[in-house]
Amino acid sequence: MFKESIQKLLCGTVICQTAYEAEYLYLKAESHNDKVNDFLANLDRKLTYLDSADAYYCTFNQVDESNEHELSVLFTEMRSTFRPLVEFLDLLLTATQADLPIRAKSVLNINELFEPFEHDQTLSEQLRRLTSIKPFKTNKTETREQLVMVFQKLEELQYFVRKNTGSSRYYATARFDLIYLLIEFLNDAELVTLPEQEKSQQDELLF
Amino acid sequence: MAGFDSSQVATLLRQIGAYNDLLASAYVYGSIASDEQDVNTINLLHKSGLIRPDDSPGEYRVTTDLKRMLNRLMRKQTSYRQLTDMGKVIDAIEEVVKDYQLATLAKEQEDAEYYLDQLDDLLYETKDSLNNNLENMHFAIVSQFGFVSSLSNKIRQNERYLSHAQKLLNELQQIDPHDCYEWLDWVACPNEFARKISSFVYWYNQILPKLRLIIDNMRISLFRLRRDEKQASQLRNMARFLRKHPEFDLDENLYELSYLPEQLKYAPSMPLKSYVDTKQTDIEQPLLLLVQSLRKQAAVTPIKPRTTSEVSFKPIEKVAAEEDFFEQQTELLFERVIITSNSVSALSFYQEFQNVWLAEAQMIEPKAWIELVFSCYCKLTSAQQKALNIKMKGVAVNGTTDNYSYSDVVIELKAELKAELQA
Repeated sequence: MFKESIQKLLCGTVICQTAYEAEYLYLKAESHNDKVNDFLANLDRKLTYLDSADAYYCTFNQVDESNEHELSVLFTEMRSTFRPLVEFLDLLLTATQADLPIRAKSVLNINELFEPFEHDQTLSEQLRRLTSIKPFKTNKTETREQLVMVFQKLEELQYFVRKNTGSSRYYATARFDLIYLLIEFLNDAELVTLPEQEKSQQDELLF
Repeated sequence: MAGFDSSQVATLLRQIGAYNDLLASAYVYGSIASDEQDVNTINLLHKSGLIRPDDSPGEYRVTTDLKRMLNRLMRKQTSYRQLTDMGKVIDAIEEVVKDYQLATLAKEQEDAEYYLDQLDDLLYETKDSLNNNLENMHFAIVSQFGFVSSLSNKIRQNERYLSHAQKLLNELQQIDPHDCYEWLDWVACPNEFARKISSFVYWYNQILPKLRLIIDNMRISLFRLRRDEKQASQLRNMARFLRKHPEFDLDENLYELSYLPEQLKYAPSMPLKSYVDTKQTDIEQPLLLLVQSLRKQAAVTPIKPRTTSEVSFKPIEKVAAEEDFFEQQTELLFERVIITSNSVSALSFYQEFQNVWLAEAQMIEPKAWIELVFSCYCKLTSAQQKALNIKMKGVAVNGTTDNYSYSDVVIELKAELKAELQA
């Protein structure tokens, strides 16, 4: 399992209980964890554990000439998906009328989402806008098809996993938690000034 | 148990059994309405203390005693609050212990047994109620306060449970095992009694760490719930912010920020490739199999179905080449010019060969012949034209400057060529 874990980590995989359970259980053991970490140290990387999502992944030690270009590519990709992902998560909060955003180990049944999206014009309109931009861009016009497309794309990007291909149940992976982590950082580091909570509640009252 | 015989208890239980549906719906739906048919039944149950009249007339509710029992048996969450006042419980136990001690010492066997029974109930109830409390709290944590759905209510419930558990801990800490052991400190203390007390102390020693663990877990759970709440509100605010600021984009050099948290320093994926060492003999066999399997795959590549449509074509028409007799004659004319190096008039050539042509049943008008010679001259290649000159014999048309009426054409070899041939 050492080899499998290393391969996954070097490919940028986020290992959590939902996705790659065998590797997750392997890394849970402290001795394995140390072994993997020692190996990664040779490659200027380290094994990072995200407590809030109970997940493992690889992080870089420093920025230098050897990795600058690749980092730039990776973070550019992250920049391009950040906005659509936040919009998707917010949309999902509204559609499910939940007060807890999806995160590692959450389960979503796509069949239960068709109804709110098809019956609420605001939701379907927002979904239409979401599917007009990358990475969710599609030519599909039916709300149902658009939603399926978004979920498939998220599965491709490893945000969701399914136990078998035909299933309508999507299990969220720890990748979602990384988005919340980024939002928290942006907020805490004051890189963005998020609107105040009271104000947002007032806004909600207006609608 | 003094005061009741088993038949009385059996009668009550039989009543509960006989009207199970009625009592169940009163418990589940809060109340039941009585109608004329079941007025007797309702009265009977009321008399047995199983139901009580509701504020609204004609409606009945399950009595608090029965409800509490059902709540407990059905593990309803409401019961977790029964805070056990340990001070009072210990006082009560102490009293019974004293009564038991006195009765035993006075050798009043029956009374001693009654007190022992009472003690047993008290201890059992205390343990049971606390165990129950703990079980409920454990369930609440495991289910993440699943009996309420919204996050804010979960947080509120967690806070309540936590403060209750802390109070319970305070209560439990009032029990001093040494005090309990002192109850046993008298001559001829029966084993049965000592066993009960020591098992109680044993239970107490076990329940304290359990409760502490529960409290710790509740603190963690509360922390998580508050973090979830923060996460949700940050997500909503971020989405709102992004909508308001369509121009916003993450910092291009985010990865270079010195204060970027370690957990956000994702490493880029590393391309992994390896090549086969063909000189290594021990991998020869699996490698061969691999190559063969790849070959097989190539062989069975399914043929892609293609859309087909018919192409219609007409066979090329064969036309027999027809040679014009008089065109051949013009060629003979040009040939004569070249062979003889003399100029040949079309008209004179006509006059000379007219009879030969007639003999071959070929006829042509002189005018047409002259025109044909002219047009065949025009059809010659430019190299041939350079070798031959054409001279037109004719007169200008009256009243015009450049229009002529021709009567003959003369073909002749060019002067320089003539000189060459003669040389």
